[in-house]
Amino acid sequence: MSNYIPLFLMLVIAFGFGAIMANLSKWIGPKKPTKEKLSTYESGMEPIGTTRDRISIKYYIVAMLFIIFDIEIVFLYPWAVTFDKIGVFALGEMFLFLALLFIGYIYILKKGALQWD
Amino acid sequence: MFDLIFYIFAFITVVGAAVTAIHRNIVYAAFALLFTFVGVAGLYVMANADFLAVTQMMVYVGGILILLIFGVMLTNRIQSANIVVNAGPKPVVAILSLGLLAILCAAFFGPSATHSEKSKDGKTASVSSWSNYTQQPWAATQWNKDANERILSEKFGAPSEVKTKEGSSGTSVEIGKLLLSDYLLPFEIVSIVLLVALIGATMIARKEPTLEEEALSESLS
Amino acid sequence: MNYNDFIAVLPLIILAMTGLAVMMWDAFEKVPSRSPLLLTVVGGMGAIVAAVANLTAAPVIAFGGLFFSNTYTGFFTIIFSAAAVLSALLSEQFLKEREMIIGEYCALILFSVCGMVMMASGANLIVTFLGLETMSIAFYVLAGIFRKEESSNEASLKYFLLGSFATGFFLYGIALVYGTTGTMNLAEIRTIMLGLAPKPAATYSSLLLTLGMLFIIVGLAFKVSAFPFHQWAPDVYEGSPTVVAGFMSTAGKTAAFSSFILLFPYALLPTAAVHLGSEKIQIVLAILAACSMLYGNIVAVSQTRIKRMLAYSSIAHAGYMLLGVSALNENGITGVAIYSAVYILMQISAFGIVSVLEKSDGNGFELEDYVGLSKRRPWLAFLLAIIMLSLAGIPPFAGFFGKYYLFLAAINAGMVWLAIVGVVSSIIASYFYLRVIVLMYFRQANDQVEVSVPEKINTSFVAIAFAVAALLVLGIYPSLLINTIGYLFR
Repeated sequence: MSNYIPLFLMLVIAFGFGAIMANLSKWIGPKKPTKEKLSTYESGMEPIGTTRDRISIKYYIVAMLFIIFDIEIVFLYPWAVTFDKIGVFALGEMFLFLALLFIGYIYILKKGALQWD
Repeated sequence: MFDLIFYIFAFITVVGAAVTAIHRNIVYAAFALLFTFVGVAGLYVMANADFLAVTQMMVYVGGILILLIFGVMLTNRIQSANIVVNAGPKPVVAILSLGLLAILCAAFFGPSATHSEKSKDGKTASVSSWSNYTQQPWAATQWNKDANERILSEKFGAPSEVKTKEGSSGTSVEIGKLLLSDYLLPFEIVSIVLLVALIGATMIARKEPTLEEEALSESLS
Repeated sequence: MNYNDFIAVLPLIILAMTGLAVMMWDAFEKVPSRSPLLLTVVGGMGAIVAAVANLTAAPVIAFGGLFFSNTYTGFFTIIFSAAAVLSALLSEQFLKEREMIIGEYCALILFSVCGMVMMASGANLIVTFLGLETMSIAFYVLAGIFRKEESSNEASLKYFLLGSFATGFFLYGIALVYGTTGTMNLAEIRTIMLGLAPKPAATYSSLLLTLGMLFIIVGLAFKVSAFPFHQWAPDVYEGSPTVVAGFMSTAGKTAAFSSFILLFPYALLPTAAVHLGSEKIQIVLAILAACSMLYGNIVAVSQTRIKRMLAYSSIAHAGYMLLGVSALNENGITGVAIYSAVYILMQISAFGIVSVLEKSDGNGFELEDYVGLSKRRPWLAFLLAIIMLSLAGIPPFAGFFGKYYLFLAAINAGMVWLAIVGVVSSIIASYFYLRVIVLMYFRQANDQVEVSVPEKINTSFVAIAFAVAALLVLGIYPSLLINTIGYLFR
């Protein structure tokens, strides 16, 4: 367990730092609201609706393809930590694995799934 | 210290899951899932399953969750559509989930040792059952470590060599070895599974070329 | 990996490589052509040849206990590959009329067959699970291949949501079985269940093991659409493209049955199991079988659309095969294998004929549309009549022998009541199968003048004719099939 303590510490510090920095200006900054300050900027538009709007489906397909290659990385990782112990045969296996997904990559490229417009 | 960290992660996991299940706004539910995933990753670390923890962080926190939130944001005007998360008649749901809980509790805490004693060979179980481990809060971890050691020692002979000691490189090395030797076939099959998912993703979400574009590409080619 | 391992997975490699080739061809070809179809057919045939070679070779468990290669797996590999070839041939015309590209479709069919082969040959629960996933993901996409049609999208979404839920159950069941027995190797599980190897006392829990088996049953029963887990089937089969529905409801189901047999009669519930709850699990399986047979056939009687009728009757067919699984004996296994082969031939060609008669605008599914078919399309009507007779299990046709073995298995297992339920539901089923024949041959359409359309000899017609011919041959010489199967795991 002891070798994870730095990790936990880092987690705690990261979360704490983020939370503090995000709120620091709110806490220590001077706040003197007047009616004019709170209204919309004079040449701006009155906000309509919610801030969460629809996004394009293109983001979605990129995210899906990202996950597929993300999983590929997950399988690369245990190979990477052992490749010096298990030899050339394992290298071949890994290349087969990568080759199959590379074919998939060519496929999506040719099918135009990565074209933004 | 160990207990404290365990309970922190357990708390994060359970609260996140509860908010995901209960919250009526699907965006908040999706974000609450983040905490569940991170908490589970922490629990994996506690159980000495560092590879799983990395996978959990990379695939679930870094990928699936983003996809989920994209999915939520893709859906048009989720606020105005007012999607009500309703899981059917409450008594039925309650009975089902409590029943599952009861079965799982019975299985984990129940007299599992008596079952194995009753078995045909008539041998009394010399090794203590799970219920003995549950005296301690890190029961699951303890069992996991035992099982890991047992499995590893079966695979690699002397247990002292491969024991996942604290401070060692963890399970990733063993997983790497097994994946590329004994479990070679599933490893290669995974790439086919990913390939199918890839075809599916491109097929379902890619833009259908409009008629003008088709005409254009034909004239070009 | 040595030479034997390589030979054992050769059908799988051929199928996967063909799938890749079809993908690449589809990605690089400028003008859609027939080549992907041709490649698929060649690849499927190649896999069949490789599997036939495996049939005759000595049985092995390849890759250190991960992959069975014996007569059983060879048989299932042959029928899955044959189903892929038939489906690909049936789809060409269908997809061309709807302006769909056949490349992706063929690649998905081939990859799903890879998954099926893994399910039928998985000697380790991991391989079985990966096979199930490969097959299922391909099916989710295939169901939604008509992206612009709402019904196809709906079918895909429904199938995906419910299917992944069921896969979750299956995986949980695997986890519990692994947790209690300490191994995922089916042969090792079998020795533990037979009491030949000691149970891992520290982790063994009869309750958890039973729970694991029940979860596995839930997952697989969903995939075969057995009774309480069938609700998705009619909607999905009706909504997805007809040729896809034909493929999913036959090859997909029989693949799930092939792993049902490996998991239950072979590994988890061998006949002399010392496990405490095995009789209860057998009863659960038997009840699922009985309910599926009765429910599927009774509801199918009231259907007016032929696709929905076939979907409901496929629930009943799942029931027949589940009956063979629940018998947990040799006859049951032989019966399931025979029925799988026959069922694939019958149902794919039935859906194939529906797809030929279907109009591009989505009409032509009503039973009323089949009135007087014998005048308009005499050849198709004749083939459909044979298929319907075979589906109903009328003796000279192949469907009868499958059912005979299955019911015999139930009687041998001491479950006479189950056999009686099976016979009764078959009688109910013959009503709606024969009704189609009556509509085609003995009823006149009142409003239109009957014009006989000459049959075009295209790939669809060839595939259907071939399947029906095979049905006839197997019906007249059932020993061909029975001898091929031999005895499982000899």
